[in-house]
Amino acid sequence: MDRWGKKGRIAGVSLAILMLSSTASPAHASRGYSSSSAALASPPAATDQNIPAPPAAPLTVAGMVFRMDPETPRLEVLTGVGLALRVLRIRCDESTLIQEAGKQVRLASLKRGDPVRVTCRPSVEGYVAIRIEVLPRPRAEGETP
Amino acid sequence: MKLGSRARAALLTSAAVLTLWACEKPPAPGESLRGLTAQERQRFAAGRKLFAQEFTPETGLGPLFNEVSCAECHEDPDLGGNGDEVEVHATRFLSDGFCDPLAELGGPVYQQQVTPALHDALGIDLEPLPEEATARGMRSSPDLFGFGLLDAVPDSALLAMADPEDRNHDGISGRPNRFVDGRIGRFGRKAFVPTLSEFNAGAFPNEQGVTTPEFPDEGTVGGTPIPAGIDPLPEPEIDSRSLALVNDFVHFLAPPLPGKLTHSVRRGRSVFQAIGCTLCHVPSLKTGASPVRALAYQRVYAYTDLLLHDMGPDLADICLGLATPSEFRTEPLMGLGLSKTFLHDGRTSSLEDAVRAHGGEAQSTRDRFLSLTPSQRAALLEFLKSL
Repeated sequence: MDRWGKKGRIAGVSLAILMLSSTASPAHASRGYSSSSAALASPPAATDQNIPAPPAAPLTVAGMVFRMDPETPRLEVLTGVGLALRVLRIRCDESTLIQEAGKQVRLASLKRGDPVRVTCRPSVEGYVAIRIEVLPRPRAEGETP
Repeated sequence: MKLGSRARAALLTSAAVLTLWACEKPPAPGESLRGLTAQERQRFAAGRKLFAQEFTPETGLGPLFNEVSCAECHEDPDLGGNGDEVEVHATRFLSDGFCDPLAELGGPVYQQQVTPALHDALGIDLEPLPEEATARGMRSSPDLFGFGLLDAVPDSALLAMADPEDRNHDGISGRPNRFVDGRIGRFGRKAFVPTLSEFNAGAFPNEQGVTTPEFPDEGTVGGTPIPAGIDPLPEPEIDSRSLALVNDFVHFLAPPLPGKLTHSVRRGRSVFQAIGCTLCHVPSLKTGASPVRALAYQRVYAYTDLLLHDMGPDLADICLGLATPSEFRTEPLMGLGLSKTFLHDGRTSSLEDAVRAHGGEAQSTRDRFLSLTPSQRAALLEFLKSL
């Protein structure tokens, strides 16, 4: 006995084709999620058990200018992952390269809240900045700076 | 031309298989998205086990922590669901509008439990709040169903809905929050965290005191270093592979299935739109590209715009990122029918009270809700419970 009938069969096959087409979309790069790894969009890890870093390896972090003192000269960057946040204290010296939109700027021009990417090297006195890059940020139409 | 009996049988069998596949039972809460590959399903299952794994001080728990496992707070009605735990956040809102998350003083998450070793060393039962905090916020544990789809919605979709200056004069002025590095946030009640992976990676150290490759230090007790020898396990206490599996479990959790679309639910949905709820609780968002096919180009009926809105002084608590104390992310309403408590702090078990608590930008919509007839109001609440 044909329990479905012709219409039922057509509906079933059509539904199946529809479902197939709805899941057959191209898979390009996402906003950073990867199924096979954590693929965090956060700064490179300071420590990774798979790639043990030597003590003197440079550290790169992205974060926000939290405090800045051009006299000392020192920079404190608020960084972290998710809601796990920390403040990284970094010393600058005459060789520290500070850039915004490709142009060299002075430490004193940085403001609290500026998003930055900092590459620094560990020293006996703490981290020393090698390069500080002020990051651009996309804005919504009408969004105030 | 007539088909032979074998050809007819083959055709019917194919149609039956396709129909059965097409009519596959929808995922129940805690199950994975449909359409995952076999490898993705394996990773979901492996991640599920780690999600339920209970840590001890010997395996990395603490010394400060909120709970012993992810599942402890996300368990109802199944793994990945909501929980009755409420945690404590605190920040400092400065007069110039800058938000200090008190990261140097243990913030913004203040753990409510300590290991016996830390208790013996310092005589504390929880992480004390610093005097510098200007506000404390309680945070309930939401379900995580469908969050992988929210993660896959492109930033551009959020920016397209933002209207910070209320240029369309509808009284609603949503804006995106930003993480510390300037990226657009969407996860957490203040929409501070950009991606689900990062939220998960931050939850291990914050919620269980388990250090990760991305956050390999135990932090402090309110800014004071943890006494030596209290947590001798080397960092990180969870490896990248385990973290990735937990991420996969959370990303692949299917969104909750809405309830039956009865006449009353349909009516409530119309009322929900008519009084303006959908201006913030946008019914659906579309995901963008994703390496996971089941997450790519899907419509997710989340009822949120993932943007910040001013909710008025009565709900205000902490600041975070650009979010002022009274600004909150539009809470996704998918899964609302599974919740026993409502609002960001779980302050009420009455859905109607939760609607009544809406202020700020939502006040005019709230007032329209209050002026509904009893049957319209009942229909709207029934619709919400169906989500």
